[in-house]
Parts: sequence; structure tokens; C-alpha cells
Amino acid sequence: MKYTFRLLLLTPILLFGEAQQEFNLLEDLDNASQISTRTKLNMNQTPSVVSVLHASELQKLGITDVYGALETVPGVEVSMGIGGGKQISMRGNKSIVTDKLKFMVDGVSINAELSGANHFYLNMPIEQIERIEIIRGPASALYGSFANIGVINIITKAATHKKSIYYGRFSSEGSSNLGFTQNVNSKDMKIALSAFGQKNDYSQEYDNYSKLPTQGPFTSYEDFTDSSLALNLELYKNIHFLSRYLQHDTQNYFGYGAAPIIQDPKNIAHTSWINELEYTPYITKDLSADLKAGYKTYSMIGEARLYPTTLLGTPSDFIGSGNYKEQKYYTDLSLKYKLSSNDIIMGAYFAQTRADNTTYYVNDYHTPPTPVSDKTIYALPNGGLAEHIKRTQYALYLSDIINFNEKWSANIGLRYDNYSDAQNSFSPKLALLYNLNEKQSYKLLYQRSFRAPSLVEMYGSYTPFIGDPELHSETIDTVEFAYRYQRNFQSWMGMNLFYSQTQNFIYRDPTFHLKNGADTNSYGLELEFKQALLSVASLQGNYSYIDNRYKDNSSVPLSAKHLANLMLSYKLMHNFHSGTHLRYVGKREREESDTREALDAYTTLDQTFTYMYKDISLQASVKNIFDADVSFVAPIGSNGTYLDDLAQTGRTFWLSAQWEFE
Amino acid sequence: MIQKLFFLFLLFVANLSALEYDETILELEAKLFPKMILLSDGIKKESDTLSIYIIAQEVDNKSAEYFKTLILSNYPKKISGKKIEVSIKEFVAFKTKPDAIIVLDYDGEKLTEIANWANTHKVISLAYDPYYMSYGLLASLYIGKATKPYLNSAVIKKYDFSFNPYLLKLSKFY
Repeated sequence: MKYTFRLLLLTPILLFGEAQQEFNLLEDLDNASQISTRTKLNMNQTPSVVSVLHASELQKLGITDVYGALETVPGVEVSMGIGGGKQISMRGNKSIVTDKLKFMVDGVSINAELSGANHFYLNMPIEQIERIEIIRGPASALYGSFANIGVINIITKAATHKKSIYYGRFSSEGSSNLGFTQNVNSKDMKIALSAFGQKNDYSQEYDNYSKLPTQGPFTSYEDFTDSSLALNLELYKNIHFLSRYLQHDTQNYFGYGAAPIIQDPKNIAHTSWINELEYTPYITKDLSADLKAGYKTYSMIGEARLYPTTLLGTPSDFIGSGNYKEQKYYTDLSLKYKLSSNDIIMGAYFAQTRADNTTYYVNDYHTPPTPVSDKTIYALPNGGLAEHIKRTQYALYLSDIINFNEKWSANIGLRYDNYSDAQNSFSPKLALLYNLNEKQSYKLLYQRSFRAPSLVEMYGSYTPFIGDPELHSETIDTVEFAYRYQRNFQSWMGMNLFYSQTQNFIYRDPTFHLKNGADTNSYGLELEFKQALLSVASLQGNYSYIDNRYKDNSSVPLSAKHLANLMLSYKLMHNFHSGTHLRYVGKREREESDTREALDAYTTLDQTFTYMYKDISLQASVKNIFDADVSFVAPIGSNGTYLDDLAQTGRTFWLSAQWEFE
Repeated sequence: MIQKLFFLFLLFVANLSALEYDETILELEAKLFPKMILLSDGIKKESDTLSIYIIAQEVDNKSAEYFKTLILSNYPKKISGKKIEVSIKEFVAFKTKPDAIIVLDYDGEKLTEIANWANTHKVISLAYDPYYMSYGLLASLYIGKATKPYLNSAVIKKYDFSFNPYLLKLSKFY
């Protein structure tokens, strides 16, 4: 009897053990938790304000590239500056001289040290992308410099090793785009090869510039081509290798220095090549390592027609020609330790950047006739930079997510960055998260971020960038409060309030010298929602208000205070989909010295239809259906500016075809 | 004005449409749902197949097909001595009972009807979205700090479902 009782007592334990052995559900759930965290499915639980954009949804709304995708994010304004450099403004903080966003592709930073540049990746076609993860706001505690106003991480289809795709897209404005991602997977090895090429032949006539002696028409050349090739390799699930090459050839849209181009434009090639090897072993069940080593280069080579003869009153146009190349080696070693109530990450980063043999020439535009190709007249010492640039950086970082109980958790983070040539920085972070229940969560966050002066800001020695080695790093302190209500996967709403103070903002004075100063305070509100309508449609929208002011209470110009998006996605039939995107950008104030009226607000409406037949999708889209007047602010340069600002393309049609398969 | 009218038209047309499914969630559920089903005590031990119906509206067929492919690619061979068979069906009061149903998107009224049928016929019902459990479906997936099986305790008690203690230990209760 006693033995029978013991046997009965043991039965569930034996059954339990048998089930555990057979199903190994615990391991599957651990993996699922990691995937949920990595893909931000559980964004209620992340100690940051995060947006995740899924390319499959964006595509059906007619979004064609990263640039367009970012427009759908609360608080993000995209524009294009003189010279065609694409600009991202996040919460009213705009990249003007240098880019201030940490921009990553498959987790690898692509920012160039010369100027933080990343704009040449913003054209990346949506067909190459699986999702885009965006941290809205500062994030230096984990990501270091450049994560000053936000972090953008593009996860490509190649990195996920799931779907292969071949596609082509053509538009009425003369752009064409072809590309593919091809996966070859075996049990222990996954290889993805991806490539794309795109060409934009667009140019437009322009006839209103403030200082031209004659207001004759001229052409803004907005041509560019992109060529990219990438290899993503995964071995035994924990060794990853990425090599990605991108060349962006561009004309000088609208001219550099806000001066129009009268004759043929010149060509500048930006080339980025990134390589990273990553090994992520499990040391014990709860302790894992992430070891990364990388090498990347960025180069800029080409010529630019800087000022026309008609503007200078000289016999020849002013031509500049240069060659710059930087190389960077880095390692990033981190340990992740999972305790019962703590998730700890600690790591060390080391990097060295070198830029040598920079050249820069200008022609003698005072002496006629100076051939455009004659670029050897004036060679500027060291190419307009310091002779040998070497920047060594190391950083130590720690992040601890403390789970007090089911409802409360906190994140404490600290990063120390040491630069051989710039100010050292501490970036602390404190976050408190409260989950009222499965549906409602609150976050209170404080974070300090920094941006070390870029190489051109420190070592530039010639107009238009005269640097200063004594420049301090820009810093930004942000406090934010976020609330999210998630009814289900398809219906949620969020609200976020933030207040930021920037210090040592780096700006360029009228004599082209770079200086610290012009500190600002900003506060704002971001509202967003996604709603399944009558259980059959998906409507998503957001609105953001940003008030960004200098210490004297005057408004920071050039960015819109009000931004809004409304996106409607629905299937008319199981193989026929429609997507609509309505976007509003509020008026944009001018610089103090600019007497023109504020630039008007605009609203655009895009409509896209997608037809699917098995693995093939055909799309037709019209962007800016009502041909709204979309212009970006043309700032005042030393030679005046475009009176009618930088006009963008109006109504545009495009068609695409893609074949996507497992 | 034209813009306003156009937008109203789109809202009207929207009533004919259906939802987008998150592929990552489908992937997680395709991996975990079959194991959750097999850890139910109601599964016939003697049968060598595990029959699962994916219940979906016609407009969701593409997503349902993708879901089916994911389940079958996760479990190409037998698991626990059973071969998994997956069929895609629109909901009717089925004459032949499957071992389990996985329910994609429907309106609340239809979800209640599906849940009632499943519970009274002792068929395990799993929901793509945990929110559907509020209409009486038995289980789903909880995605929070950790990912867990999500079981509807009220339905378990009312309709007398039982599961292996191993699953109960790992689950969150709705």
C-alpha cells in the first residue's frame, strides 16, 4: 500500500520528466523569447521608445525606400538639403553639417567618421528589407556616439535567411530599380547574396534664384545611381559574417552652398564597404558572449561645380575636386548574463580610424578660359584637412534590466567613451517600466547622449568647413514618459511626452568656422495608434508636436512643429490589396536672417494597389495624387538662396513586379 | 474637398478588407502550438496522426497557407508518434472533429460561435491573437518579457480540459 502510494505520487513527476524530455518546450520558449525581444514584438517591455516598421506592410502602402519609410515614424521629418544630401530630423533635431543618427544595417554601424554621413544608405530599396527598428530619441548608453537623436537599424531579408526575392521597379520620373536577395540554406550553413542597382534620371527646370544677375532658367540635376552587393553568411547558428558594398554616385542637386548649377553637373561617388564577423557562443545556459570584429571604409571622390560664372562674375565656373578615404577597425566584445531577475549586458568597444592622403583641388576661376577638367591649379594643403588623421576610441558599457516582479522593472545603463582626440563622455541611462496589466504599460526614461565632433568638424581647414580641434562633444539630456495600451496584436495606441536639452550644439558661423554654442530646449508630444476597423481593416496613424527653442526663447528654424500620418491597409480580395498613405507636414519657420514667409505646410496622399498571384506580386502606385506643392526649406547661403525653396517632384506613378519565395 | 471625399471613399471600401498577420508571430506559433496541443490530455493516444484545422476566412488564405507551410516545415517527421496533418478550412460546424483548431481573424460574433463549437466538442482551440480568448477560445501565445503558452483558465474549468503538468508549469493563465 505504502509503495502504491509512492508510485502514485511519482507518476506526475515521471510524466512531467518524460514530457520535458520529449517536447523540450522550455528551450523552444527561450528561443521564442529571444526572437520576441530581438524583433521588438514585446516592445511594451523594452526600456526605450521604439518603432518597428515591417517592410511587407510598408510596401503595400507604396513606400519604396528607407527614406520614405522613416516618414511614417512619429517625430521624424525627412528632407533634402543643398547638394542632395538627405536629412533626417528627429524630434526637431536636424542633421545639418553632420548626420546625428546612428544608422545600422543588420546591426553594423555605417556612419562615416568624416561627417557622420549615412545619407547614401537612405535610398536602400524596401524590397531588400525585412524590417526597420527605430529608437526614437537618444541612445548613447548602449550605442555610443552618433546615437544622439536616435538609432535606425535596417534588418535586411538577407540577414534573416528566410525569403529570396527578385524585383524590378520603374517610375514616371525616370527612376529604375532592379535587385535580388538569394538564399542558399543547408543544415549548418546559410548564405544570402543580395544586390541592387538603381538609377534616377530626374532633373527639373528652375528659374528663381535670388542673386543671379539674370533670372534665366537653369536645371537642377537630381540624378543618382546606387550599386550595392552584399554577402550574409551564417555558420552553425552562432557565427555570422556580413560584407556589404554600396556606391552612391550623385550630382550636386541644387548646387553646393545653395548656388545653382548652370552647366553640366559634376559627379561625386560615396562608397561604403562594411565587413563584420560575429561569434555568439553560449558559455553556460545563462551566460552568452557576443564577439564582433569589423573593418569598414568610406570614401568620397569626385568633382563639384561650386559656383557658376554668372554668380561670381568671373570668367569660369568654380570647380572643386577631391579624394577622401577613411578606414576603421573595431572590436566589440560583450557578455550577456541572464539571472532570475536581471538581464545584464557588459561590454568593451575599441576602434581606430585613419584618414590619410586626402586631396582637394580647385581651379583658377579668375583666369579665362579655365577648363573644367583642369583641377591641378590649386592643391589645398592636406586636402583641406589635417595631414594625418588618426582617431582611437575605446568604450566600456554596462546595462542591467532588473525585473522586480511581473509589474515593475528598471533599466540602469552607463557607457564611458574615451577618444584620443576628442572629449571623453559618460552616457547614463535610467528607465522605470510599469506594466499595469497585459494591456497597459508605462515608461519613465532619462538618458544622456553625446556626439563626438566629426573629423571634418575638428580638422577641416578650408571653406566651407573650418574646424576646431578644441570643439566639445554635443550632448543631449532627455526625460520622457511613455504610455501604451495594447488591446491585441492589431489594435494599440501610444502616447509619449519628452523634454530635451542640448548642450554644445555644433554649428557653422557665417565665416564657415565650426563652433560650440546655440544650446536648445525642446519638448514634444507623440501620439500613435493602430486600429483594426470592424475587425476587417487596419488603420494606423500618428501625430507629433515638437517645440524646439534656443535659450533666448526663439524657435529653432527649418523643422516642422506638426507632423502627422494616416495609413490605411486593406485587402479587397485574398489576392488584391490596397494601401493608402496620407501625410501632413506643418509649416517650417525660416532662419532669423531670412525675411521670406514661413514655408507652407503640405499634405500628400499616396495610393497603391498590389495584386498577388502565387509568389508573384505586381504593384501600381501613384504618389502625391493631388500634386501638392512639396518643397524643402532652402537655407540662406553666403550667395543667397532659391527663392522658391527646393521643389520636389509632384505626382509620380510607379510600377513594380517581384517574385518572392521561400 | 476632393481629398476628403476620396478618403471617405477609402474608409468605406475598407470594410471589405482583412487583417495583415505578423510573420514572426506566425513563426513562433507554428513552432509552439503543435507541442501545446500534444500536451493536452484529450489527444487520442492510439492515433498516429494529429489533425489540425486552420480556421480562416477566404481573404486570409495566403496567410493561412503560409502558416500551414511553417507548421509542416517545423514538424516534417512524426512527433510523439504522430504525423501532423494540417488543413485550411472556413468555419462550419464540422462533422468530423479535428484534434485541434487554430483560429485566425474573425469578428467577435463568429469567434464566439467557433469557441462554443470547439469547447462543447472538446476540441482544443488556439487563437492567433490572445485577445480572441476573450470570446472563449482555449489557448494562445503570451508575448511579454518572456514568451509563454497562454491558457484560458475559465474555459479549462468550465469545459473540463486537462493538460500535462509540464505545460501548466510553463504557462500563463488568462
